Amino acid sequence: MNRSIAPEVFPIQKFAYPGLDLVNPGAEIPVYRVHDENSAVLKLEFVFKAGTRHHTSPFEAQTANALISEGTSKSTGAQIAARLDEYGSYIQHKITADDASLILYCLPKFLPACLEVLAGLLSDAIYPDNELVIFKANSLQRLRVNESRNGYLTRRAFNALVYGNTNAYGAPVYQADIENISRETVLGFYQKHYAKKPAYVLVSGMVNEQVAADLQVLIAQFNKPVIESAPVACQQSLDAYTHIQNQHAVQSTIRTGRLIPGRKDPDFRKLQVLNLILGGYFGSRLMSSIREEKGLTYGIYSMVDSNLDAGAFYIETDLNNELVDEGLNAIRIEIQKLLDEPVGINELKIAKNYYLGSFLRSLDGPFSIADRAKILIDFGLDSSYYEMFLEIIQDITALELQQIAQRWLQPNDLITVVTGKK
Amino acid sequence: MLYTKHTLTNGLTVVHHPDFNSRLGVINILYRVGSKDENPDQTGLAHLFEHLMFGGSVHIPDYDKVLQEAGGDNNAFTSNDITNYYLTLPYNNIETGLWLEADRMLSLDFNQRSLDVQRHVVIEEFKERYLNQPYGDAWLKLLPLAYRTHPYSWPTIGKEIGHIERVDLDVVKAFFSSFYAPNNAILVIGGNIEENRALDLVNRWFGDIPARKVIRPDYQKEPEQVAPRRLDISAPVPLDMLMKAYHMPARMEQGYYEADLLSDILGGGKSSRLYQALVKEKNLFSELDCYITGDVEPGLLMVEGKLLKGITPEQGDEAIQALLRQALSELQERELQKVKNKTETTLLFNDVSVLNRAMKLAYCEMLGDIGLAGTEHARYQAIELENVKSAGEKILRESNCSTLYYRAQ
Repeated sequence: MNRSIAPEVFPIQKFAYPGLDLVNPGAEIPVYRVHDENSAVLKLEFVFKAGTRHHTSPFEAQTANALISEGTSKSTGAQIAARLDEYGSYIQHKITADDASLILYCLPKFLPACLEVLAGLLSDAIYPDNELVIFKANSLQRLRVNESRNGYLTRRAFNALVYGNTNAYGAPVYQADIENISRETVLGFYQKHYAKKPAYVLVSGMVNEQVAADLQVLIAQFNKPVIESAPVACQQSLDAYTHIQNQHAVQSTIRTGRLIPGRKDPDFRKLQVLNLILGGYFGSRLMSSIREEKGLTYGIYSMVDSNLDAGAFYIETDLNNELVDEGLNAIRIEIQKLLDEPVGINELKIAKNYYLGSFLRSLDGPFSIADRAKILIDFGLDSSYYEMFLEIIQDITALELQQIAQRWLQPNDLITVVTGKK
Repeated sequence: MLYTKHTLTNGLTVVHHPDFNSRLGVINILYRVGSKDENPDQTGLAHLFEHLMFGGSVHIPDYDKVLQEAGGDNNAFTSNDITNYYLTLPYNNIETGLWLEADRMLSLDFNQRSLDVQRHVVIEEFKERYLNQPYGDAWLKLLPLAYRTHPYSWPTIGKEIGHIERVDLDVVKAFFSSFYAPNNAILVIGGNIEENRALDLVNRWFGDIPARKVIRPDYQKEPEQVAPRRLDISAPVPLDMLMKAYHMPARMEQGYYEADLLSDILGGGKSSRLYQALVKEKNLFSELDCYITGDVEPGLLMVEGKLLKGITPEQGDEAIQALLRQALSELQERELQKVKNKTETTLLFNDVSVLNRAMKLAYCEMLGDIGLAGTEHARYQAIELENVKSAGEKILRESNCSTLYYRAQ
């Protein structure tokens, strides 16, 4: 056998995204499911229009989300936690700028009991004073620890500079915001954004007819939320370079990037492909040059993020304090190359195949499919979005990518934040 | 859990685990080598070696490029006990993954350049994760306190950066030859692939790799701890922190599952004893966790937490000790059932991913009982309250504990 000859590589076969399966057409609150009859478990995500963009005072939305299970008029937080634990279930609290979720992980045999607890949380949370006091103290402590981390300080400053520091995408949380939270404002937020008002439910795993029926009974008690929020208007700062001093740092964190329009922009998916080549996977240019050739860092990556109304592109890495200039220079060179020269044929082929493969991975199993479904629901897209994505990846040319680079990666449009010891 | 197990003539253990609902093929290769197999003067080598495995092999100069071109992805981790490599590919390209893995098991392309670069990368990793994070060096301090003779006394990254700086090519070659042999590995191939095809492909690429002599350095068992140990340090961190490490039974010893369930009763989730009493009622800690390290040889049951401002580590320590005594005397059936239910949920959620199942099969085979991959749930269910109590009484003694006070400067 000749080990120098590679086995044949086959093209990735086209596949259809299963699409959104709406359990209750016409109902006020949609219940979507991703059913897998081989699954033994259930994940239920209740999504609320309760992100930080919906708040009236800072940290109110985070507090309402975090403490929703800390007490109802009938049960204490300890009792609620004990019941959910007895059923072997987990509740995850999730909040972003655009929305908030409660995610229940449980076994089908315990679903009715868990839904009963959940119904209490979604109609009768009371936010006891003592729980709020503990939460504030612990949040302040966590903030203090975070404020000693390079990565946290860098991301906080970068978001404020890229999105603007007064809107939901960019506004930092300060100690005073946590200290000033009151029970009244949190309760008010809950009544308006959570109480009997999920925007939709997304359930995945063993979602048989019984599960669907149980959910519809619960949902029938609720009403569609009527909440309008103005688009988040973003404005990137003119400060091209910001340094944050961290006296105790051995290494510095670098983040450099810019504001982009986000997922609904026609360029977004092409920018995702370009991003992959630049810093989106292990074989990317940044990883190859800055980690694998120069050994300057343990890791370097680039990302395109998208909120509902705007997104960001950025590159991030950690390296020794005295290597910051060298690192920034190496990043600049890699960006300039994308502007000046089309990506090579072989490099593009590898990146495309890798992207198609990771697309396949991201759609393997009910939970992954559900995560993808959430994007479709939130952005108002249909399942052709994913099928077309396959075509976009397959069809994109080096020339198009160079145009995308020239449009979105102009050095003068990028801002940089560095945290470390100077 | 469906699987079949085979052994090739060169000693390679092969496990097939089908899942025709998946569009993926997965490969997991576990090598029976971890940081416990290192010389105390040359630590961090197993982990550095994991990095070198991506520096090209004898017939394939660039591992990642080939894998990515086939639509595949991969990663690896090193622990005290094992080094584990895992790949996922579109199912029709799984042979590419086998070709890659076989070639690097046959022989790496040992070269100075790859060693120089990966030494730098690992030193940067050391700094990023252990020196440049608040509390990042806590394990570097705690482990040598808890272990006096056993190699678990250093973390997988190594004792110090100097050890990594000093590694040369001869050391690397000897390490490869000793541990990266087919007879020291377990290969799981799974996902959307028939058994016959899987075995044919594995035989084709791995069958003629010669077996090698595995040379494992001797090390001593950790003697029983007989008196409390304490280390008091301070560093520029925002808050005081406290870690308590109790010796506990090995993975396959009597008492392991008991200790695992006990750690959940004490610190798993919001209804746990420690959280309710010391975070919620007495407001001494802002965070408090209890968990086990889960090592193959006798490991640690950990209690660790960040203290609220104004509370000293001594006060926190005293409160933990009192709470542990009380918990053991009051332990209830209901608490046990609760953590058994949670364990069942965790195990089933973990099994959703075909890659996780492949990893679990390899790990259980390494432990010496592949059947455990499908029966662990039953083991947990069979534990009785009295077992947990007596395990707890043995483990949760101060004389069995190493305590780290990590003070804010």
